[in-house]
Amino acid sequence: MANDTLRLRHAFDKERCRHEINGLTAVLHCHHFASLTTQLANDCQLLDAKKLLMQCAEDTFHLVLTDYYQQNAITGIEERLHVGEQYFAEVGLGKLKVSYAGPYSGEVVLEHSHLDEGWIKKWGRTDKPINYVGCGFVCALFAAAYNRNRREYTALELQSIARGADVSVIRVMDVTDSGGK
Amino acid sequence: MAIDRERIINELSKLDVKGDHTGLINGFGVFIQQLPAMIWTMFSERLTRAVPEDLLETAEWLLVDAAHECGYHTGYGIITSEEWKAVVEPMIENAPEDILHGAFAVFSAWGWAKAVIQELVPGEKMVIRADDYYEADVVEYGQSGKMSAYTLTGVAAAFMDLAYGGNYDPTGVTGLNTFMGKQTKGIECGDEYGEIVVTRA
Repeated sequence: MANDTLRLRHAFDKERCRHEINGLTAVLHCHHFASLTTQLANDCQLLDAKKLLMQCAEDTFHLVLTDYYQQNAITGIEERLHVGEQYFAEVGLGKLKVSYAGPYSGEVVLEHSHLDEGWIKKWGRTDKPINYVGCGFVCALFAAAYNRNRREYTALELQSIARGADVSVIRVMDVTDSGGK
Repeated sequence: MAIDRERIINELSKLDVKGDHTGLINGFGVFIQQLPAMIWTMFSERLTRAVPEDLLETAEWLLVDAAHECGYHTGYGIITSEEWKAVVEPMIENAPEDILHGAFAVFSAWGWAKAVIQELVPGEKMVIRADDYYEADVVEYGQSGKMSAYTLTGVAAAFMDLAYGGNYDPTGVTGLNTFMGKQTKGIECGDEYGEIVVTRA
């Protein structure tokens, strides 16, 4: 088995009624929950809850990916990105492909997206970006792939399925002065 | 009561849930994801800790509401699914009360909480006891002054909507929000277990 083939360990703790994926408590939620949480983030401008949701995603997935890379001795950028793409799909977030990646920037394409397609299923199209979870994931993926810390990348959704495009495109950019050097 | 809770949990906790070739999980009439619970608890905790005191109640209501709608639609998908028909439906003798007990067994099998119905007044009131729930993980030492089981509260109310709120309405205009939940105990607050009281809205 190639080192870039994702292997997630699912377990169910009967005593506590908890699912675990690679040792972390995992929970099933539907697109209604994700859409309403995203709507909440949109509405709560006082706190910039959009950024808050994106950062929660970044923090969560940075931990997941860095742990996975470390435990499975995955050191190559290409392997790390492939693992991230597979993780995104396996947990139901959609089909993500990294178009290009470098230490200072990159772009990803989402051919399918839980957040976007769930939003459309619930409310129809929107005119605003809504995939804060996806943007947070992409920041985490690049930071983890390049051995960088959280908040060293930011992500911008250039187009999205929820806004009527065929695919979503997210650009990721290094926001440190040093470019991580 | 004919509901074999342990059997339901055993059977339905084994469902193989993962994205298909599109990376989406289609099931129970909804798109599903299975993310680390910490993404949701982190968001709700950071949000409720950052809002001004006068907006806390609104923020908490919105978090509960997200779970309430989720529970209503996904709950309906669960109780009309093939898995439900195969495992739970043959156990149902007294509807809708047995359906509610079965639904909380599925609730536990899905990893939302180790929750059981402690008291049920048909059509009026339900009390849920949760001996474990992931939303309590926001406190690892000591006791919080703020209860945090927003998902548990919302989903419990949604299940009462489905049982006693009339026919399921996919638009959510009728049927949804005929009941409301209130958390009255929390593991995160030092209580032995979490408790949700659901009453007519």
